[in-house]
This record gives sequence, structure tokens and C-alpha cells, in this order.
Amino acid sequence: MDIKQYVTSKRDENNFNVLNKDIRKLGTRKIKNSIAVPSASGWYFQIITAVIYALDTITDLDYIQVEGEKEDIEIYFDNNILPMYIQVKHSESSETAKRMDFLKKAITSLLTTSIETRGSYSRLIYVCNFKDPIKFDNSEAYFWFKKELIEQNATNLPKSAQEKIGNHFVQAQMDLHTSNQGAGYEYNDIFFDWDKFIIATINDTGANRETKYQTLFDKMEILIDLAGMQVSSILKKNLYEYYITAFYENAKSYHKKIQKIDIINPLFIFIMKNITITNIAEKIDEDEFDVDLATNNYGDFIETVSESTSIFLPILDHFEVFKDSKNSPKVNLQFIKSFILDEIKTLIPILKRHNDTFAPNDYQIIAKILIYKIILKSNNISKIKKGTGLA
Amino acid sequence: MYINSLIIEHNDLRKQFTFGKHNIIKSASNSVGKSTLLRIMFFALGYQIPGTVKFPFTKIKTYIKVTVKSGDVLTIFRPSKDNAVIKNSNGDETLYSLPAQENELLSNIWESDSIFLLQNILGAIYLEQDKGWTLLNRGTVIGNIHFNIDELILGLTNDFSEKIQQYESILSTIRQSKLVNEEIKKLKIIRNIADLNEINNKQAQGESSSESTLKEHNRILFKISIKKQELNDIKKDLRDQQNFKRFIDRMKLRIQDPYDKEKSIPVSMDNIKYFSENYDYIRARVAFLDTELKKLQFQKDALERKMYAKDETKLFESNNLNLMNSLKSAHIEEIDQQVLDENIKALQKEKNNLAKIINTFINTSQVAINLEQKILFFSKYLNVLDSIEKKRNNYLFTSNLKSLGGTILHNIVFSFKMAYISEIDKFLSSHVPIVLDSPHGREVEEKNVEKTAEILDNYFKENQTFVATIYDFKMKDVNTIFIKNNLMEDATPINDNELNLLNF
Repeated sequence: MDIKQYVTSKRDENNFNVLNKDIRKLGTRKIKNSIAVPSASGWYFQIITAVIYALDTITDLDYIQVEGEKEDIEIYFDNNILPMYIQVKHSESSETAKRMDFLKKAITSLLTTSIETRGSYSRLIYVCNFKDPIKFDNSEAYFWFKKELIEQNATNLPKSAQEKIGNHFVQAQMDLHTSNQGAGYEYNDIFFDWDKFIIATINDTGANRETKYQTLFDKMEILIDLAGMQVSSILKKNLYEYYITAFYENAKSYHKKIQKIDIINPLFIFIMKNITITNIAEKIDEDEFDVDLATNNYGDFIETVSESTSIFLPILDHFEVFKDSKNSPKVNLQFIKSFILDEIKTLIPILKRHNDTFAPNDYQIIAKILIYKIILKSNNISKIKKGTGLA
Repeated sequence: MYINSLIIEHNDLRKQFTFGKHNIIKSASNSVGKSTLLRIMFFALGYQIPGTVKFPFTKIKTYIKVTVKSGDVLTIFRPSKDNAVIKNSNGDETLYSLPAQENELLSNIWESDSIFLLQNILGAIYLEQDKGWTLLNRGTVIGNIHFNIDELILGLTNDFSEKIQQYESILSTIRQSKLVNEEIKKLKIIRNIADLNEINNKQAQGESSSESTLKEHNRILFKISIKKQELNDIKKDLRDQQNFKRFIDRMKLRIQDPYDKEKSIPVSMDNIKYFSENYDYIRARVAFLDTELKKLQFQKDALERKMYAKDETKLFESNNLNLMNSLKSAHIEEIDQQVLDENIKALQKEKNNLAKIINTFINTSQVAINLEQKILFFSKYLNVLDSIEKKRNNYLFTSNLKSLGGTILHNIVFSFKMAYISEIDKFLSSHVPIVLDSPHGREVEEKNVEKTAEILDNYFKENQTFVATIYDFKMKDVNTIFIKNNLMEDATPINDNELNLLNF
């Protein structure tokens, strides 16, 4: 018997006929368990899960609410895509005797959410960090507990598993009915769409954080790829640290809103951090100057002026004019270098107005580095924005 | 810098004042608005000058036209105390939000980027009637605006290229010194409370670990201050761009579609090429630095808990009131007094060393030497040389002279101010205005005021002067502005059609 038939049959047995009750009379949640303050490790896992899903859905993502009004994690999208609701269960070890209890609680909450949203959701997800979340014979084949996000639609599981889930679903309905004494939440399941119900596992066992949160590290590659950047373990590590600091360590309460831009912001920084004066010197063949000296003496100055609109807008404008004058040229390094030579004479007097303390020869070098950096920055950032659907 | 004219709008009335090289603002009796006019003049230039009860500056708008050294004529429109717009000869308009961007605005007027100078010019050129004639080298000019001789000297030293590096290290020393000072204050409060409770923890166990925690704490505080500075700098850029963004939104600009004459395209942030990339980048930087800063603050909090209280009471709050409150609930017996004392001692020593470095730099700077010579010169002219000579040692920085009082102090202050102005003029290669409010003071004799006027006439001929007085003040080619009963007398009603006077 599949899950839908099972639930219907159980309902008949228990005289569950009050399905068309006027749902406008719904009261406040009584059984919802996410009201409880999560434990420290539970909260950490919740943040990890939120970031994993943020990365997984980044292109259409609007924002994620951790500890939202309805569920542990609520994901909202642009482009008229309905929200996703996630119920998270965390256990200290990868095996837990409480898994069936967890399953029932998660279903209870998601069922309530289905009613509250009047069925307006794209997916209802139960995420956990332990093995065999439904406890059935062939569990390994479906939840193989490897280092990736495993998602299973309940209706695709074997019949025995479906019956187990169905059994807990009906129990959840009964509990809701009892606890609300027929006055609050009912077991109404007309809004619960089994095809949108997902059970997922994230394996967070491991000796160090790279192995523990490998699922997250792997998902970062999606983002890095979309941004058109080079995947590297350093970059992934930096991103991880940033996300944890921003969303976990710095969170003032257990309600954290994560915007799409919050996920992408660090990329803007990291892509520019990688472009040191040494890199630029290599690109523009500047062997005439001492890179360390340049970094020390005018690194800060270049950084500051490159953000001033009165500097970067004119340079980029001249770049456009230069491109036009060359009749749709191929914009490669050679081309940028020819532009740099063309632009230097205009830029130097402007730089002198900003800071007149450098030696005359320095301005040549500063101007070259600055022009290159500004063009590169503008390209990189628009590439990231386009790739991640931010533009 | 030369102030050409000033327009004040108040209660639907508008009045224009046109200035000459030497201006006397005169009235038959006191309290008609002479001082207010001078205050408004500086308010119009962008300073955070407080209004008066009769004339609150929250209700006025001002336009002031100045000619700067380069010959450029700037019109500064101050629609409220929160912002100002500068329009230059080319017609470019720039909006400044105040006081956040005060230094940027002032740098346009005084044509200098030296923040220390910008922050201290007013105290040198404006002898306000209440405090101006007693403010010698450190103190309040007006409202929250302060003057500090050390900063002025640093500001005037900025330009010496061979000293730049030394100068920069002095600046960072000053920052460190301020931090150290804060720490000492906090530690002293903690010690006092410990004293109060007569708890003398003589057990020295665990001292070395406490010391290393304290060191770590200091290190983090220092890092926090650096991050904060960085964050403030970048936030300034962000504000600029936000202003620009708002400006674009407000202007409702459209451009012609080059391919379809029937169509036009609205200008927005999204279709201005390149702008939004940089805007996003700066926003990302702010978010990023903010995250780093918060992380440091968490580390700091954690250390503080470890250091002084197990019950999560925060002992180190920048606000002393909070500190006191949290101390009240803290376990005093957990404070190791010996460690506290040693830390206070160590910090005091560090502070003294830093102060020595700064003082040596300032005292031996050419600017200080020049100032001292000029002060001696003017004080001789005003017959107060004796009083200064008696305090010969380091009189430029002294606080002893204040005890003199009366006419002597009045004249000494004037000598100091004229010396400052003369050095500022030299540094800017320009002539800054000199503003004297009530030079007669309370007990100043007529012959002294005459000498004051002589000094202006002999040595500051090229400087624009403003003197507010009910007495006579001898000056050549004077433009007299006479106020009969109140500042806005003979004002004209504002015509709604001429909303923007930036072209006046």
C-alpha cells in the first residue's frame, strides 16, 4: 500500500472524517517543537544546513530565515517560486534510538506548516544528521550516509518504508487532534502534498571540520563555479570561516535572516584579495619596480582611490571610449595593456591631486596598477553578479 | 579664503549680507544679534555651531559664497544642520552629510587635507565672545568644537615630506595612547571598587596567566580599534555612493533611446554602467569588516569573562556607567588586585612613554619654534611679554598662564591666536579670515583695543576681518553692517519661485 492509500485507510479506521473543517479557525501552534531553544550543536547544524540549502538554491534564492515563524529553516525565492520549509533534527551521534520520535515530531510540524500556508510551498523537508531516519530494512540503499546531501521523496521509497512514514503521519494527526481538543489545529491533510515531502540526511561525522562538513564544502563549489572563480581549498576554507562567523558566531539570537547577498558578499572580497600587487605586476610586465616596496608604500593608497567614484568611473568611461575607437576589439590582456598606456597621462595629474607626496616615478607605477585593478574589479564583480543571478 | 556674502533664511524671510575685506558688525546696544551673525557665518561654512535660544539653527537655511585660494568660487547651501551642498564654479554640486563628512566639506573650503588642521582652524581664527578670549591652547571653542595646540602643530607639520614617516608613526602612537588611556581609566575604576570593598587578595597564584590574558585583551582591543577605523573609512565611501544613488533616484532622469526616437529609457542604478559593481563591492567590504569586527568583540567579551567574572558579567564596557553597574553585581573577590595594580602601572608607563614621544616630536617641530617666536613678538607689542617670560619654560603648551586673568590674559590670548593664524596662513599659502567677537571684553582698556587694531592693520592686512562690537574699532576701508534691533530686520519674504539660490 503506498503512503497516500495507507493514510486514507488508517483515517477511515479511526473515524477521521473531519477533513473539511473550517481552517480559518486555526489557533496558535501548540505542538510545534521548534519554539524550544536549540542546543548549541543543534544550532550549529541548523546553520550548516541553512547554508547548504542556500548554496543549493543560490540562483533563485531571495533569503533564508533560520528559526522562522513556522519552521527551523524557511527558504524564500525570487521569480515566483514558492518557499521551502525545513524541519531539522540533530543528534549528538550518528545513531539514535530516538529517530522515530524525531520523525513524528518533524512530520507534525511540517503538517502544521502545510495547513498554515494553505499548501503554498514548493517543498516540505525533514533534514537530520543521523543514519536510517525511518528505520526500515533496506535503509542503506536509500540513505547511504555518504558526504553529500541525500534527499528522498517519500513516495519513491519502498512500500514498507512508506507505511512506516504513513503510520507516523496518522499518529501525528491524532496527536494534533488530541492536543488541540478539536479547537485548534486539526489533522487536516488536504494541504499536505506527498509529492513535495522530502526526507534528507546530512552526514556530519568526521575528525576535522573539512571532513565533518564536507557536504557544505562541496556545495560551495556550486557557488564558486557560478561566480566563474577558481575552486581552491583555501577559498572554500575562507568562505566556511566567513559564513560561520557571520551566521553562527555573530548571531545575536536564534533567529537569523540570511540574504542572498550575504552568501555572495565574501566572494567579492576574496576575488579581489587574491589580486595582489605581485599578481598585477606579473600581468602588466612591470619588472621595473620593486613589488614589496610598491605594496608597502602605496598599497593602501591604491586601495582607497580605487573605490572613489571620481577615479574609477572616469577610468571605466575612458575604457569604453577606447574600446569604441578600436571597433569591437578582443578585450584581452594585450588590449588592456594598450589602454593602460593610453590612460596614464590623464590619470597621473588626478592622482597627484589626491596625494602629492610620492616621488614622480611612483605615479607611473601607481597609475598602471590602479587602472588594471579597476578594470579587473569591475569585470570580476559583474561576472559574479551575473553568474549567481544577482544582477 | 574670502567670504563674499551670506544669505539667511528664517521664518519665510530672507536676508542677504554682503561682506568686504574689513567688516565691523555694529549695533547701538547689546543682544541684537551680532554674535549670532558670526555664529551663522560659521554654521553656513559647515561647522556644528549651536544656535541661540532666540535663534535656533534648526530653523534656518543658509547660503554662503566664498572665494578659495585657487580662485574658485564656492556656494555652500546648508538646508539643515544635517547636511550641506557645495557648488563650485563649474556648477558641480556635492552633497555632504554632517557632521559625518565635516572634514571632507572643510577640506574644500580651507583647501587642505590635514584633518588635524581642519579640526583646529576655527579655534585659531574665531575669538568667540564667551570662551574665545580665554581659550589659549586647549579647550572649547564653541559648542562641541574643541581646540588643541598639539593637534594644530601636527596639522601644520603634515606637509614636511621628510617628516612624513615620523608623522605617521606619531599618529599611530596617538591612537595607541588614547587606547591605553581608556584602559587605565577602566582599570582604575575596578581598583577603586576593589579598594572600597577592602578586599586584599594577597594570594598571587595564577598571576602569570592573568597577565597573559590581559596582554591578549590589550592586543584584541588594539585590533578592534584598527578594524573600527577601517570600517569607518569605508563607510564614508558607502555614504557617498548612497547619496549619489538617492540623487539619481530623485532626479528621475531619462535618456533618449538612440535606436528609437519615440522611446526614452529611465536612468537608474541598474543601467548606469559600472556603478553598481563598485557599490556592491563596497557594501560587501562593509559587511565583511563588520563580521570581522564582531568576531573580535566576541573574543574580547570571552576574555573579559575569563578575566573577571564567572557569571558572564561584562566588566569592560566602554561606558563607565555600565561598567559601574556591572561591577556592582560582580564578585569582587574574584578581582585580583595585585594584577590590576601592576597593569595600571604598566599602562601608565606605556602612556608616559607614548606621551614623551609625541611631546618631543611636537616640541621640537619647526612649527612650534615658529609659533613661540611669533607669540613673543606679538606679546611684546601688547606689553605682556613679561608675563610670558616669567613662565618661560614651554609656555606654548602651558596651562599656567590662565591664572593671569583680566587684560593680561586677554592680550596673551590675542598674541597666541595671531601667531596661530600667521602659521596657518603660511602653511596654506592663503589668508584665513579673522573673526573677533567683542574685542573690548569686560575690563579691557581702550588703548589695548587700539593696539589690537594696529596689529591687524600692520600684520594681517591681507586677511579678511570681522569684528563685532558696540564700540569703535579703528580699521581702514571698513564695511559696516549695522544691526538696529534684530538680525532679520529689513528681510524680504521668500518667493517660492526661487527655491534654489545656489546661483546667487
